[in-house]
Amino acid sequence: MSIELINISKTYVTLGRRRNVFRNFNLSIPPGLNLGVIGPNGSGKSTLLGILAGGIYPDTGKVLRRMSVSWPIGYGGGVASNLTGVVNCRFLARLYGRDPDKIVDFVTDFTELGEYMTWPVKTYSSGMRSRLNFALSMAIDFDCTLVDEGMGAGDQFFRTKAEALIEQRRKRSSFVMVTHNLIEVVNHCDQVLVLGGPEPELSDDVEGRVRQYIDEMTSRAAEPKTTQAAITKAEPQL
Amino acid sequence: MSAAATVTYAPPSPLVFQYRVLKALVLRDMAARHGSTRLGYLMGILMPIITLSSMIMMFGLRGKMVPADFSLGVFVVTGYPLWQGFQQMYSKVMNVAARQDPLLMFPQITQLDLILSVVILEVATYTVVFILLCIGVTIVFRADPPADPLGVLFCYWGCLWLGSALGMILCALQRAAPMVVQVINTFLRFGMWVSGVVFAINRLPSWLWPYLRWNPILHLVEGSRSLWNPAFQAPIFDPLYVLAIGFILTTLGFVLERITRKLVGS
Repeated sequence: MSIELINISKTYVTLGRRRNVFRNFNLSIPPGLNLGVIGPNGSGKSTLLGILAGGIYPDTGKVLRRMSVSWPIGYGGGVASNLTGVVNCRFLARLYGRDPDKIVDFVTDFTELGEYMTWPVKTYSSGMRSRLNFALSMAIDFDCTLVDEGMGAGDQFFRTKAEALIEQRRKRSSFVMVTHNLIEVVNHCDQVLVLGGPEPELSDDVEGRVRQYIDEMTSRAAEPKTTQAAITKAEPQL
Repeated sequence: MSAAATVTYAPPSPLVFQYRVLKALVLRDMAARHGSTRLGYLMGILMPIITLSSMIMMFGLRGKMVPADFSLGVFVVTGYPLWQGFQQMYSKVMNVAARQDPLLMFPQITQLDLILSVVILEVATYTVVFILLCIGVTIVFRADPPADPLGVLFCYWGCLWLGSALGMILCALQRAAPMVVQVINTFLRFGMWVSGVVFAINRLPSWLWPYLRWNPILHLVEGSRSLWNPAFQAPIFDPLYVLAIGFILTTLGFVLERITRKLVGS
């Protein structure tokens, strides 16, 4: 049981420019691993999650999924806004071969949406919608859970409840977490994958690698080159 | 490392898996399209009937186009719904590409599943509507029931099949060469006038027939008329030709879908 990425390559072409996000990249996610994925914007974090989830196809290479993989937590793509919360729950339950009634009960109970569950999702507030997305993501027990950025949804009370559930889930399944919250990575992850450098870097020393990453980012931000160039360019216009 | 997962992953057999995905998609589509209002499902059936009634009125005013041995209602019901079914199928299947469906983020759902779910739902809906229409015109126009009802139904399904296959090709082309799709769409707009919908083909001079023989929809329209009313001799009806075209289009559709599949996820 694992997920294996074997020699994955992925390139995006934007405005005629090619950008290699991954080149012959290999990764193995065994059961129970908590992996944090960090890197600057545009380094390929969400692409990696998309490849793991199956929504993005790599240009070359193989993805072997030998365990069940979630869609990114909180992702609302599967929720149709003109359908009710209940119908959306039933759809995902059928898709994953689960008992629809149990999924509906779990989501209704966890989100505390009550009779709103029978209303079309387009009538929900954004907080209610993110509660529904979150609960739907957690309603099915996956062997590997994917998390993209902020998983906190709704008010403080709901967020506490959500975090407790995530903590529970973390203990019994693999977690791949894409985030800018480095404290969360240090606290929860067994390994960290750093993207954005010449090659993706996987490290077991999470705290050490995160510290190094902070130093790299700080020195990059303080680099006079880019700042000075921008100032020189702007000066004549002032 | 935290505790290892205890869940054992046993993927279902491919057939069960496919059935599960298609069932979920079809039921979701059905709820999305017809389930949002109380009269949604009824309207899904009523709308084509209203459209057909207006067609019958139009043909009633231009009665000369209907062959002498045909009731007006039977002539219309064996023509227009077939063309409309073909047209609806290809446009609905083609539009799957334009939807950029977020459902594709789910690993078990491919573009082909979205296409198949649309096909299943539409074929089921249109078949019910077509059968109701056939029963309706038989009662209202006091016409003879079809001599070969199953044959007529097969002609109708043939049009839906050709529409779905063409839709799959256009769906793939939509991604790779949208301009080509626009050209084909423009061409298809004139299709109704060369498919025997507004007039039976034997109303045209016989020297024109060979130029229209390429059109498989014309074969099916003429075929459905001769199968409903054996007194009507269809000069252009070759089921083998229709089958061959159907298989070629379907194969091409599957191949192109496979080739362009990667473009969907990028």
